[in-house]
Amino acid sequence: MVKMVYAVAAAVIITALIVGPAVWYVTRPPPEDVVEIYHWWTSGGEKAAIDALVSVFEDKYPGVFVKQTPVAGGAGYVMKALMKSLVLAGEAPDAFQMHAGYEGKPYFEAEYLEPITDLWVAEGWKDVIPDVVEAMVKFDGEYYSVPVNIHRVNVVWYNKDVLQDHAIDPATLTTWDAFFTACDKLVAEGHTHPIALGDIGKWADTHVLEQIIAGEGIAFYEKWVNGKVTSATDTTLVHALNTFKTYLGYVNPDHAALTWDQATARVITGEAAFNVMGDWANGEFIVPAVGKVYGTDYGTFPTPGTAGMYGLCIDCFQHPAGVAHPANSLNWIRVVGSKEGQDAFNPKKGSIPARTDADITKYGPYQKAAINDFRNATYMYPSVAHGSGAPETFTAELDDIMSAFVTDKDVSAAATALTAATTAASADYTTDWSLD
Amino acid sequence: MAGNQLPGRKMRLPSRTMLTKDRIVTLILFLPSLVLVGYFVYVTIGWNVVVSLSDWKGLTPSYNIVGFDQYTRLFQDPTFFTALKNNLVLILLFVPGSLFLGLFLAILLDLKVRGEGVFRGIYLLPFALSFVVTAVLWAWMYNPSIGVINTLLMKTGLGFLKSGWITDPNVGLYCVVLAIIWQFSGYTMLIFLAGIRSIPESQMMAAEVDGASGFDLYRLVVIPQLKAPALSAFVVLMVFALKAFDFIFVLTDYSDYTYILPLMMFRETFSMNRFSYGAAIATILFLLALVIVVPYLYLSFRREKE
Amino acid sequence: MRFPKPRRVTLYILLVFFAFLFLLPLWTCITTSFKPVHDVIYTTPVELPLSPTAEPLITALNIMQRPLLNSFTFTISAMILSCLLGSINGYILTKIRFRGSDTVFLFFSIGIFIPYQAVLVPLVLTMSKLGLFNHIEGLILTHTAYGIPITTLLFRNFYGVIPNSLIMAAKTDGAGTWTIYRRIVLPLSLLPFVVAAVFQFTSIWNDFLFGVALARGSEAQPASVALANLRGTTEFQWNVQMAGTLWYALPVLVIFFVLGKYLMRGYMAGAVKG
Repeated sequence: MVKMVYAVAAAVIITALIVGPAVWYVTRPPPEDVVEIYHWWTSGGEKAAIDALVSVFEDKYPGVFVKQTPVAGGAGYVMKALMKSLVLAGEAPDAFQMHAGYEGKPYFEAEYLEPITDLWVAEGWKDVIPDVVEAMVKFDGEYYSVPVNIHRVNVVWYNKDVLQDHAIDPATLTTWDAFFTACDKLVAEGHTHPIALGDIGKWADTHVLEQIIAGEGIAFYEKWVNGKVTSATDTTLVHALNTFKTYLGYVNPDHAALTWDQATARVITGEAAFNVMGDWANGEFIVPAVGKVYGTDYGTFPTPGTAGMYGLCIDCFQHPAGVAHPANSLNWIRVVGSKEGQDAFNPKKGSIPARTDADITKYGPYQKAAINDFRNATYMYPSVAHGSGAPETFTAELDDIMSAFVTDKDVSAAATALTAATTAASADYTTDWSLD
Repeated sequence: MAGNQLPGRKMRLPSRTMLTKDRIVTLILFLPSLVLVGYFVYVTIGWNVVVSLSDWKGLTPSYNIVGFDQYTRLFQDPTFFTALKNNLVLILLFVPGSLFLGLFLAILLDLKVRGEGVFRGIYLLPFALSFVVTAVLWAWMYNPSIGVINTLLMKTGLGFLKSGWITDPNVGLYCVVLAIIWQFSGYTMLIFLAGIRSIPESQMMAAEVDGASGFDLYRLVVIPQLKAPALSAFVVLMVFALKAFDFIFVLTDYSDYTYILPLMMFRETFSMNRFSYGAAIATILFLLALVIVVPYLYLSFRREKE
Repeated sequence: MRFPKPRRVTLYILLVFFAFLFLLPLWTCITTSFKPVHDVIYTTPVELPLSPTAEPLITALNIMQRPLLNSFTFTISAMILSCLLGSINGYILTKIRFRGSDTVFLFFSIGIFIPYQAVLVPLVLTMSKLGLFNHIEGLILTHTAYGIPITTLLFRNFYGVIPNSLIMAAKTDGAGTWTIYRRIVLPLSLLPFVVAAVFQFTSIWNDFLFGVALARGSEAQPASVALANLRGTTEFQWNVQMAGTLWYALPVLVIFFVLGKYLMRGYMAGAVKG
């Protein structure tokens, strides 16, 4: 009996072994006219967003199949490593996702990218895309990629009920002093950890510091991203670090145990009042299972000191040199930059379009507010925490420094390490940001 | 001359030419492996060593040999020593941990247990799963807010034992070790059990006659004979201890307390574009493996000679 | 060995306790695969679903179908090739032997320890030059090459147990290297083939790094990569993810259960003698 079972099992396995490969061989799709793209939007709303963009492309260019290779893992870490291997091996895809700014610089320097300045001119993108955003996709005066979306980084998310219960008016929280006074009030009234922080993966610490530095004024931020803050005793830098130190006095002690979204969840439940996070956090509030309403259950305001400023985290697509399907590659870039493409992608992704002429009716309540802020922004600045504003080597060091600072809260050590890292990377600061 | 020796002689004579033909056959059989291993293992390692001696930074390959600069820098980099320390702690806890748990389970199963096959299958299950899968499963077990462990602790009134687990810098590395012990002790169990079963029954009987019983029997008779299986399991465990990369990467990202050499190599190379520095780390990692494995091979050779 | 009764109760308690520990993560995986989104949020992972549904399993299978087929193809091919080559190497290194065969063995064994992340760039470059990038053949070649060291070790340990007199006798009968291998060694190799095949199947099937680097689009995408893609960067569909995990793990689990007995015998027959 047992022997029979084994015999049957063995027969099934052997059949599977033969039939499987045979079926695979027969069902291989024939080679066709394709455009190969890589991105790290693998599931949920992100997948829906890229699929919407792909269908805009396929409507415009019927017969061309968009061959997607989504690569999951840690906000693109895996894909970034993979892309470098592919590019070095001469197997660059027709287009691939990347954060705008310094992340593209190594590719540009090694001449793996082809300029698309002509396309920018022909499509009229210069007229509808703000200057700072343009600067983020340019190297040496030529355009190399096109932004598909914009996420805002300088956002404080708050729980409306909590603030109402404690009679705090979010509109008054425009300076860190006012913000900390509100936090003191919350602590005194029983909310011991009013700010939620979740810094698994380190970047969330850098993210907060970056907004504090932006709060010191656009001139200082510009100086910082241009690699000009090199003195460890720079009063503004020390002031910013001290602000961060005060900030850390209000955060949940288990922050090292939380991912960013778990921290956001604490604002949703009302355990915490505030969370500083990019506006991808909006998705956490509005997923059907949570179902919170912007303006009713939760709200946002710019991080203190950054009113009128829009911190930019931008995804874009590159046009690599020597790709297999250059014409399709350019057409893909064309669709990515088009109004139609951006208005298909962004409502689902939760970001706003990089173009100022988007059809605002297609967007949700938070995004509508964000689009208005974007159009009326006085200053825009590229995020360092997300790879745009400063060289990659510096950013990686900064993550380490900030993650140490969150533990030891040693302002002068952090200032020293930070300026030393800037000096060490001085040769890599090639973009001269002009933000004001 | 005895008649039965003649055919032997006859075979010997033409065998001079046959031997050469045979050697060619042997070579042909051997060649694919030599070429594949030679290229995929040694050429790529060689490439790594060359890169580690170069000044390659950024995405433009540079093979300008500058000597041991990267190694000098490496030995002044505190991060390197953190990663090395974590790596060694991982090996020192995981390898003996899996060996002991595996041995323990093997002995339990050897005690004429009903349903031995079922238990054996269950204990072996985790070994069948990919690191990517087990990492996801354990991420869930350890999750501080909705994880299985904390949930179970709350439900059983042991809420005070709740912890951040992998996310707690003090215990994170141990949590990782525990999870990979879980994954591999089934495999060591299987090998030890096979080892125990191949000890002749007569020896066990003899020991029993001498008055040995229970765990004494295992301590005195069985365990001393398990050197070979232990060595065999050791190699496999070492391979995975060095490859825990995927597991840790999925579980804890680049956190300091679980930062090990493969992670550092990956980050320096691909996040920071320091290709030569990353290659130097890879070379050290490989040397580390050799330092640990060469004694094994030596032992293995010596045992054969005996 | 028999223990007195009270001790045997302890023994079974221990056995069941460990079985519980080993099964717990897998159990949560199975229960979650049958949960609709609502249940995932409102029940703990260990609990049974309130309203069981096969939907996550179907969703996951739709996504994973093609990658599973790809994985089957290259895993089986590379498994067979690396086992065959390993078997031949093991045979030559123990039974034919030549000057320096121990050195050659060392040369092979060192390959077991190569850190895969370090070879990513030259590997992709090689596959691209050979025209095998994004071809299933490229994955087969890669996995075969990196599988040879461990299979050689396994077979060598096993063949060490085959009596030399058997080989000698055949040699005196005039049999050549290949004939001896085919007539004598191969027929004795069922168990080590099971051991090596299971080992290789598991490690190739479970590989992620080579798969993600050498395949593009969907035509050669391995199941491990498709599984990783079920995980979002901002959204976690736990039930679909766990269902995908289940599909992905199923073939290996089946093989372990069906071949478990032979695996054990294989190790007893000599794979642990080294």
